[in-house]
Amino acid sequence: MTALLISLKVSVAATLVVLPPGIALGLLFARRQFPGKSVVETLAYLPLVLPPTAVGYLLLSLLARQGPLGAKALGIDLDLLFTWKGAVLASALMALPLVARTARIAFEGVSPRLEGMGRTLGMSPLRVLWEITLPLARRGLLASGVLGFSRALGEFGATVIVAGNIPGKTQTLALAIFNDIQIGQDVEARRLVGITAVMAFVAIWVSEWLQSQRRNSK
Amino acid sequence: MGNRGIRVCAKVVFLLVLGASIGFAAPPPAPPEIMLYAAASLRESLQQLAASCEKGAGTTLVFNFGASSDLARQIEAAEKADLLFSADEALMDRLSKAGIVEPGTRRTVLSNRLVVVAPKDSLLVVHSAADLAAAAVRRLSLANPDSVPAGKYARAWLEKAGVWEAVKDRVVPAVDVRAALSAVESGSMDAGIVYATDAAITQKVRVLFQVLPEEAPAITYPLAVMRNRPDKGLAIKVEDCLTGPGALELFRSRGFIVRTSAP
Repeated sequence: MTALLISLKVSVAATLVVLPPGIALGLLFARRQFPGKSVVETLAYLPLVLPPTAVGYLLLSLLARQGPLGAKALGIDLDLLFTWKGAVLASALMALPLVARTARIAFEGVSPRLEGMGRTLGMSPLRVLWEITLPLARRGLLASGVLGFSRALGEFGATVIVAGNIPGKTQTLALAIFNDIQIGQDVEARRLVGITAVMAFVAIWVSEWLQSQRRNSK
Repeated sequence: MGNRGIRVCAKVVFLLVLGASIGFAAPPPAPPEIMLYAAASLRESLQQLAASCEKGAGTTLVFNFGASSDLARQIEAAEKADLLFSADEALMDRLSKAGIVEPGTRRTVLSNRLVVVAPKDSLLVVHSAADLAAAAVRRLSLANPDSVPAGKYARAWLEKAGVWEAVKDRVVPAVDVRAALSAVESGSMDAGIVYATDAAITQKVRVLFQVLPEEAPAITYPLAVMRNRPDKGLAIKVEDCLTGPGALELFRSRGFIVRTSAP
């Protein structure tokens, strides 16, 4: 059960961490044209295609004691490696492409004419964003949060490298399943697979339902 | 966009926040934690010793079991271990040279032996290393022979016996020695080489052959306190407990060879 709680803690925290940059990127990609946009977009979507172990290794190299973001270089220890916070970072990074993509689609569903009307009525860009764009896109944005949560829940490859597989500390459901298979505890592995299947089912179902509501509402 | 939809969204958010608060909820005040990184082959023994050593030292033990080579790399990347119980002196040497080990706390505690195992219903017969080169051994389960101690020891034995070249293409490497054992247990390997103490924890494999200690490399388990950690006093108490008479008796009963060396 500890693994379930750690998984929930890590996935929720990862979702909270990834939503602001993910939504900001989604808005940027949906509304702005700027030189080098396709490069930025490709970079943001990279974790979707890269093997998670590659992302994990990059993070580990950055954060290691001797690395550019390590305790030696920064003067303070961020205390991320082999802690649950490291698992959050890894999962958040792996979830970023899905969140940014879904947010982009959500913003693209909002008619720019409505935003234009707001501006014509003298609303500041921030008010337009707050009172027109975000409310109209909210279902899609919620769906992006749920998708990010699901991705974080299933994350394995980057997490095992950045956070290790420490029971009661960093061992999420995905890691616990791997561990139980490795040491031949099939009954326990099956139980954990059951739990994750139920959670994944609920998350996908909610996300699909949110997106179908968005389509119906137009 | 009906209100119903908004209410459901609110419920989803509420459940997420609830889940988070359960996860974040402060545990009851617990004694300080000591992180013990330990070789996979020590799993059951240390878990059995945990309760009495926690009580004796006034701490909570958090275990990180894995291949000693992985543990050493994790400690090199981030010094999160208070104690390392490794299955390989060379790895401990590497950490010592890097200044990560507290001087004067390193002790060689245990030794172990290699055995050749096969699934319980296997008809394979092994009288020597050379028999592993037989055609019947299509897949040989080893801990990764390039890095993990159990695999390196097994490889050194096979090299010394002159059969490594013949068997190396049949080796299926595993992440640690317990994974190598588990692969044999599952029946998907024809044979495997693990520690005698690993074979002793399962009914699903048969020991085909015991490697003579003089034919294999010396297998020893060093234990040491890590240097740049806040609770070194507690870590030393735990080390004393793990090398005390009660602990050594338990290691012996689980098939380890006790090699007490004072720090």
